[in-house]
This record gives sequence, C-alpha cells and structure tokens, in this order.
Amino acid sequence: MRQYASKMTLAAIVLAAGVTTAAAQDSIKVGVIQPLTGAFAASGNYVANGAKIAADEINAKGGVLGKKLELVIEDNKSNPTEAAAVAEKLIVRDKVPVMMGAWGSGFTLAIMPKLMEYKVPMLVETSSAGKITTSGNPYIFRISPPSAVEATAFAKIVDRLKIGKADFLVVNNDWGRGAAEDFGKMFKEHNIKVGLVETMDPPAQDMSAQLAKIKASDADTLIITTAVEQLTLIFKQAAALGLKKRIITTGGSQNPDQLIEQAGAAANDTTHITFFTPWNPNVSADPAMAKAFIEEWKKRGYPFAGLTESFRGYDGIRTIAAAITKAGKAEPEAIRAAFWQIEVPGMNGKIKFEKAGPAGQESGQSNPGIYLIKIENGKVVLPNA
Amino acid sequence: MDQFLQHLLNAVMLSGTYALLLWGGVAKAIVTPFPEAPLVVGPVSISWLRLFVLAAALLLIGASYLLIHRTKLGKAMRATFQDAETAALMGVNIKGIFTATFAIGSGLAAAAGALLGPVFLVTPTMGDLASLKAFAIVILGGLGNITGATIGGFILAFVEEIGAGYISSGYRDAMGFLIIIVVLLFKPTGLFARAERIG
Repeated sequence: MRQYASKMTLAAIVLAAGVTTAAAQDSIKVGVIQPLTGAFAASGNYVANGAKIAADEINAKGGVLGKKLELVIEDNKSNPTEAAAVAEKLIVRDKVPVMMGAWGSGFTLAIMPKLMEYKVPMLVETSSAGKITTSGNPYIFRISPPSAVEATAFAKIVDRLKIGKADFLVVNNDWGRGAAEDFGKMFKEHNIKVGLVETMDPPAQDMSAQLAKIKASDADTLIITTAVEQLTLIFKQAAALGLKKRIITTGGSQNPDQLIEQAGAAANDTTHITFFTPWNPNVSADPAMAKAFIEEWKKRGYPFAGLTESFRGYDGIRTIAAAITKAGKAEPEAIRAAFWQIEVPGMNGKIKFEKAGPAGQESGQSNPGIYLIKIENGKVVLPNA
Repeated sequence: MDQFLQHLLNAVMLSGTYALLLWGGVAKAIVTPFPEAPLVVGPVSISWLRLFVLAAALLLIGASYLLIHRTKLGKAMRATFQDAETAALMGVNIKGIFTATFAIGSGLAAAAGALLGPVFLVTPTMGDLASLKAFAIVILGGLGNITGATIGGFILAFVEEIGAGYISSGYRDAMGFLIIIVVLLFKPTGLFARAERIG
C-alpha cells in the first residue's frame, strides 16, 4: 500500500511537471539580473519592479509574437561572482534568449565573458562604466549613459556653477572609479582643479575618515558617486562632522526622495545629476508615457523614491520586447541583430543604439538626456536648466 | 551539545533570511531624539548620537566586567571556561552556564545592533561587517578576556581610522584582517592573554 501510494505521488509529480513545462512553452522568457539583496538592494528592487510593470503592460496588449513575456528575475546579491553565476544559470538552465542587467558596472563586467561564451545578448539598463561598451563585446546593448556621456552633458552647465576645485568621494568599483576618471578629465578641460580622490568599499558604513580628510582640504566642491544607501550615510556623517562644501552627486542612483526621508536635514542643499524627473513629468521626453508609468507605480504601492531608477527597468523590457518583435523569433542571434534596427521612445529620450567600441565588435550605446536637481528644505527642486 | 549546535546554526542562518523576508532588503533609517547639529569643540565635531552610543557601550562593558569578575555567576562562568569537567565536579551546572553565557552574549549583541542602527542604516546584513571585526578583536584581545577585548576594540578602531585617513581610504575594513595576520604571526594567544590553561 505504501509503495503504491509513493509511486502514485511520484507519477503525479512527474505529470504536473510535464504540464507546467508544456504551459511554459507558450511564453518567451527574458532573464533579469538585479541586486535584490546586499549593498544595492534598494536600486535593484526598483529596477526589477519597473521591469515587471513593463512586462505586464506588454502582456495586457497581447504579449510578444503572440506569446506571453515571462520575466525570470534573479538576484546577483550585489556581488560580481554571484552575477556571473546567475547569468550562467539563466542561459543554461532557463534557456533565456536575451537578458537585462545587472545594475552595477562591476556585475555587468563580470557577466560579459559569459555573453561571449554563450552568444546571448544582454541589455544594460543602469551600469555606467565606459569599459562596458568599449571592450569589443557585440552582445552588449546599453541604454544608460556611460560616465563619459554624463560628464559631457554636465559640462554644458558646469561653467555656470563656478567650481574652483573639486574633491571626489567615490565607491571603490568600476562605476565609482570610472566616474572619477571621466568627470576629472572633463574638469581639467574646463580649468577646474581636481583635489583628493577618496574611495570607499561598497558595503562600507563608516566614511568619517574620508570625510575628515575632505573637510580639511581646500576644495570648494565635493563630487560623490555611489548609491542611495551609502549617500544617506555620507550625508549624515558629513553633517555630523560639520562639512560645509557644496555637494554634487552623480550616477543616477540617488533616489532623492529616499535620501530626504532617511537623511533628513542632512540632505538639504545637495545637487544631483539624475536621468528621470518624476516630480515633474512634463519635462521628460514623453510626458504622457511618464505620467502613465508614474500612475501605475503609485497604484502598485511602490515607494515614490524608486521612480528615479525604475524607469530603466521599464525602458529596458520595452526595448527587449521591440527587439524580439523585430527579430520575429525568440532566438539569441536574431534578437542581437534586431537590436541594431529598432528605435523605441524611452522615458528620457529616443532609444537607438549607436556603434561603440573597437570596429567589428561594437557594442550598442544609446544616448539619453540628464537632469540636474537640488534638494532644498526637504523637497526636490528642479532649477532652471 | 550536538542538538544545541544544530539549533544554533539554524537560528543564525535563518534569522538573516527571516529578516529579509519580513522587512525586505531595502535599508531603513531610525529616527533619534538627538539634535542633528554636532557638538563642536575647537576643530573637532562629534555627533550627540555617537557620544550616547559611546556612553551606553562603556556602561554595558562595565556591567559585563562586574558580572564576570565580581559575582558568583561570573565565577562559575570563569570556572567553566577554565575547565568544564572540573567545574562540573565542583557542582557547577555547566549546561546552565552555557545557556546563561550565550543568553548574555546575545543580549549584548542585540544592544550593539540597537545602538548602531541609528548611527548607520538597518539592513538584514548590517551585522556581517561587525562580526568580522569582532573576530579580529577577539584574536587581538585573547579569547575569554573582556579587558583584552575592550582594549583590542579601541586598538582596531585606531588602526582603521589612521589607516583609512593616512594610508588608503579604500582599505579601511581590511585593516582588521591585517591585525589578525600580524597578531597570529607574533602572538597567537592575543596581546593580553594570561598564562593559564584553557579547556
């Protein structure tokens, strides 16, 4: 009797597995790799949720090539080794024809060799290290601006800010160091002296030593590149030290509302370079789409602060869907070729990939706009651009 | 002991996961009643919150020291630590001592978490960095030595700050590992170990 029962259970399980896999044939899987835990958990979750909104919107309109778009979301734990491991899992076990990820430049760079090995394209939605599109990897298509483009866009207004000498405080990975390098180069071209370049470990919580050094320096401005958790800690510790320099942050992962909520008064009088302005959707490239996205985000009960990053997940999935539609089939090589041919209206500009990197092995790079915002008296203010 | 260790491991591994499940991975800030403006004495500014954390920590360290060196329970703990079997022979309830010690240790760790939460941010992995430094401090100060651990803690803090300030800010958290290596090379029993048999 026991043997019979267990055999029946086994048979039932196998049948159920068969049924579920059969159902899954009717959907197109897209891998999404984000830091859902670890030092960058806030940003990763925002992007993943933005991606889900896009997928649901697309499926509501009939899906892609008549099938449902299924997001397979994996956590890279804010760790490059984990990122490479989950990328391999998505490609080999889930057999995804295309992926989006992996938020941090270090994580994306760790995945790039896997893309070359398995010949699967990946859309990069947030990472900004220059190396990503200049290393000769034809499977990379990036919609976020590299720090060099950020610096160039910032150069247009930097003279107005009258910076004499700037110090850098950046997170110690490809993103932070890349930003220090690109902005430093741009500053030198505008006769702005570069002072200290201090770094901090991604999971570091105490930056007082670096801030004490910066407080004692003779620079008038401090440029900070890191994500919202560390920014909160830096602002609080800077206020505790009595640091009185002008602070400008870069990178687009500041989530100003979360900064205001968690750092309080310490976040006042700080300036930020961001890529989307949910406080005033009318200045974005497609106000109607921006408003609809913001409405859906609020309806799902997600924190408003996440909008400054989630739009990248939204744009990324819509771009991938457009590529799959253009390719006509959910195959990695066809999708890769299709990326070059599409043009998608994005939240902060038209998404169209230009060739970047060494000839013959170019990666795709799209060029969005940037916005400068300030936090004053606990509110986000858009200065006259 | 085997059962106990199993439960212990479960608790450690699951608590982090439960925390993640309950509260999510996004960091949370804790509001404090202290003023934002720091206390400024000449060129030095210290935040009131950190002064409070220092005061509370010193109080807890003092209380632990008194407990271990001036009470009967403390004597039983020290005896069990020196030689568990002999202590049992002397009538000490060693299973009870293990439980009590573990409870007190956990309580101190919880207090540390509560004190540091407002200083930094609260995340499911906020204790990882502290655990690493705790290792370095215990190796520096000697196992089972409260005074050694306290002084070791201060030494680690100084080395970290000076290292981060004058050598390289990126390597600040690695200073703890540096200390572990140096101490293990030259004085494996810790800087303040007394010449006594353990176990």
